[in-house]
Amino acid sequence: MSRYRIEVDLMLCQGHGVCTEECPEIFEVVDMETGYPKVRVRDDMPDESLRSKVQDAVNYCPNRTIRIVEIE
Amino acid sequence: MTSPEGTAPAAAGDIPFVSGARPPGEGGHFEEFSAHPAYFLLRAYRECGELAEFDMGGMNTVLMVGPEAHEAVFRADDVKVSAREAYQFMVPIFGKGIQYGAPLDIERQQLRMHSRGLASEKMNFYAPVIAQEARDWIAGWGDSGEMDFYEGFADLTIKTSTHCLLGPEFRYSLTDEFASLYHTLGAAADAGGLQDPGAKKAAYEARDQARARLEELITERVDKRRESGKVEPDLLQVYMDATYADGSHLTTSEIAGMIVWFMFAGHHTSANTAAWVLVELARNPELAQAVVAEIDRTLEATSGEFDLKSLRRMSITEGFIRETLRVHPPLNTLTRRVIEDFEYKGHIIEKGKNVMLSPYVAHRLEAEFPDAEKFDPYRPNPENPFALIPFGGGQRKCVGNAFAMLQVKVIFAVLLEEYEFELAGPPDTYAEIMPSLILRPSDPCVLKYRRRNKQGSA
Repeated sequence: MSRYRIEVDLMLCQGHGVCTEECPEIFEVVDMETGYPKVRVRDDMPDESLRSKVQDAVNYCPNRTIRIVEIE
Repeated sequence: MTSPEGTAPAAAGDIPFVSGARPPGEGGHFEEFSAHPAYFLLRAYRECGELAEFDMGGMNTVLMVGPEAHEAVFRADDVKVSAREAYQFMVPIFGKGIQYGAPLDIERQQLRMHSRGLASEKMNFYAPVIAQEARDWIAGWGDSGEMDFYEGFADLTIKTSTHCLLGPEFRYSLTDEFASLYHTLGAAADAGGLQDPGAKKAAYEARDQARARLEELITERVDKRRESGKVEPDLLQVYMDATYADGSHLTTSEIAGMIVWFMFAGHHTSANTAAWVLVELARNPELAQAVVAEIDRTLEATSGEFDLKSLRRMSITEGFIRETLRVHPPLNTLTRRVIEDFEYKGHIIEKGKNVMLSPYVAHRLEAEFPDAEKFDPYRPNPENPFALIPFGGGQRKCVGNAFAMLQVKVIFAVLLEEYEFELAGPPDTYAEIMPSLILRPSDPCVLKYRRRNKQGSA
């Protein structure tokens, strides 16, 4: 049971791809119809075991696109 | 400096006008603005608060300050609050059909091409190239000496940018001509462009000649690459391979434009930031020790290799660079033209005016950065992602931001592994000047260097 949810603000994403390198299980970068490629979250409520990798993706995103929201 | 907090908020529907303007028709605030845009904007904020209107020689401009105001601008519709209209003076520099000289949809596709070339996986090629250039630079330094690092970093980053962009052949055949053409282009990007991009002046004529000659040089390079049939890992290859949505490729002239655009966005800004990092390291020896220790630890763990995951995890060094960008942000006049009346907190900014955001002012807000005048690399990143904006924000944030951070980190890892630095003059002689729209250290920016006495060696 996941105790956190991933939120992204796509307006901030420019497709740098750091999240994919830090946590490929959850993040990929996909082409959009126009503008920058953007992050796609494969599973926005991942298992607790992936938390530290997701946290690294959050921390090292150059655009601060990704957030972790704790679920009560 | 006095705290800017406590300034009265603007009254609804009435944006305060900055004092000290000459009469309309006689330049308004243009002269004071041009003398030092960052200092003028800080004065405007301290006098008027969150919104401050001034007269840029016939172009009324509203400075908007604070994370909420920044976010409102960054999230505004690009068509209604337009960067393109405000930055038309850049079109002759980058070239027709490029960035703001192209329709919005084409520009977005060009940004995507830059983004591909700047994606994290590409950094695996750039990091060792930058390290090699930095090592070649220090190889000639000897055990100690002193140097003008404003010029030093400008020269180094011309080499790193051209090497990453155009490959080793172009880089190693670099002539003074390239640097000088590029310098001529830079000299044409001044405050006057924000006021009247169509003005006839000698600097603009020189700009047009330099732009044409640069295109010739780059075209030669593209033709040679095509003839060779080789595929290289550099940015030129990314631009040559890139396609628009309709499947067509960039023309050679557009490729030249993409390269000038990339150089322009990344060269002086990175060079000046590197110079400031060095000055702050020398001003703050105790803080510098922690940076050096982190670099030693990292390079020891990676056997001197610059792998991206390790670089990302150099949090002390990153904090130091980030704090340098907070205190000395290179760009301070992020401008948009209001195309349809723009409402913010009950104030209407009428169409035809400009709005301006200033990282220099934004980064001195006590509410976001307590004890803002203190250089503190351990300062936490503000909660609000629109508080610290050295690269702008939103869709128009500088797409080279991660590359820039990587570049400065790698340069300092190389420099600090071998040398220690101290100021050659009194700390306050390293002044913030703005002869163009870029904030930089006054030159010569002289520091002394001495080879480190590492454990186990003499």
